[in-house]
Amino acid sequence: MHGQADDDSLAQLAASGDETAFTMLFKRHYRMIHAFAHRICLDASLAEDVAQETFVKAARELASRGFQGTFKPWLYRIAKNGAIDLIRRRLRESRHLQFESSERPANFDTTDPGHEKLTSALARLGPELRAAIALVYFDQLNHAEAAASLGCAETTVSWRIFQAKRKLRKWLTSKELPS
Amino acid sequence: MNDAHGPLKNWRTSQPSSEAQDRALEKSLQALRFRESEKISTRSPFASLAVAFGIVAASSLILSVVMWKSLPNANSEFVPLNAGTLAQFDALFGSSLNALIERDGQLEVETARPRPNRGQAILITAKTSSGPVHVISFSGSKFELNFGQEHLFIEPLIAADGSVLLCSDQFLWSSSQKSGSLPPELKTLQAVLLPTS
Repeated sequence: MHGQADDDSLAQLAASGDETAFTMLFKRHYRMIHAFAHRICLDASLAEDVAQETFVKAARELASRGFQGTFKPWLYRIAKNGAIDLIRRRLRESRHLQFESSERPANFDTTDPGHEKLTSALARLGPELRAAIALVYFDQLNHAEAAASLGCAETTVSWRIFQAKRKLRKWLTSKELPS
Repeated sequence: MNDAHGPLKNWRTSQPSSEAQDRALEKSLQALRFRESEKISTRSPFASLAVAFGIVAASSLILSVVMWKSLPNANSEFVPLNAGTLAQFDALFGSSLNALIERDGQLEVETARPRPNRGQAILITAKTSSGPVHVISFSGSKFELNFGQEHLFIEPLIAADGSVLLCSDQFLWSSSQKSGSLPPELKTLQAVLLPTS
C-alpha cells in the first residue's frame, strides 16, 4: 500500500508517526537531496551532512507540526536552507571555504579540464545562485517549481538564473577564472 | 545557456555512501519518535502548565529585548542600498521594479506587473535573526522577506505625517513610534523615505 502512495499522502502518514511511510519517503528522495546539496556545497562530505540534517529536520517538523502542502518543494526548501546555513557557518569559522580538490564526482572523467573550470565557476557563484541553477538545470524544475522549492518569488528565481547564466558564460569563455 | 549549459549537464555529483544513508535514516527515525514521545508527555496537565509558563516567560523576555533594541538610539548600520542603486535598477526594470533586497552581500530583485503610478521609494533596514537585511521598496507595494520556512509579506505605506508604516499580517510598525510587536524573525526595523531624482 505504501509503495503506491504519493509523497503527500506518505508525509501525512509519517506525520502521524508511521515510520514505514517516512522510510519510503527517505528512500525516494535521499539521493535527490544529496545531489542537490552537493551542487550547492560542492563538497561530497558536506552534502552528506546536509542530506542527513534535511531528513532529521523534516522528521521533526512532520512530528511536531504535521504536514500540509506539497512534499517535494518543502523538502528542497529545508535542504537549501540547511546547505546555505552550513556554508555560512563554515565561512564564519574559516573566513574562506576550502573546496577540496580530491572531492571529485566518482563517475566523472577527471581528465576533463572543463570540469575543474566549471567547479571553480560554480564555487564563485554563491550558494543562492547555485541552488537556483541546481533546481532549474540539473533537476529540470521550471521557475515556478523552483520558486516553491527555494521559498522565494518566481521572479527572484528568474533573476538568479539570469545572473548565474551571465556570470558562468563570462567565466567559462574567459581564459582564466577570476581569483 | 549556450557555453555553460553543456558543461553543467555533465557536472555530476558523487553517490552518497550506504553508511551515510543508513545513519541519516536512523537519526531521522529517532527524530520522528522523539517528538512523538514529547507530544504525549505534554498532554499531562502539569506538563501543559509548565509549557504555558515557559512560553509566557520566553515571550516576555523576547518582547523586552525587541523593545529595548527598538529604541531610537539603537546603532545604525552601513546601508549599501541607496538612491543611486535604485536609479540603476529603475533603468533596467522601470515600473516593473517591486523591491531590491540586500542580504549577506547578495542582491535580490523582485519584479511585478508594471505600475504607472508607483509609490514613493522607501529604504527599510531590518535586523533579523540571521543578520541585517536592507530593502528598497515602494509605498503601496508588497514585498516578501524569507526566513527559512517562514515568509513575511510587508507593505510599506506613508502616513499623513510623513512617517512610514510597515504593514503585514503579523505586525504593524510605525517609524514615528518605533514600537510594535514584531515577529521573532525581526529584531529591529528602520524605515526612511528615499529621495529620487
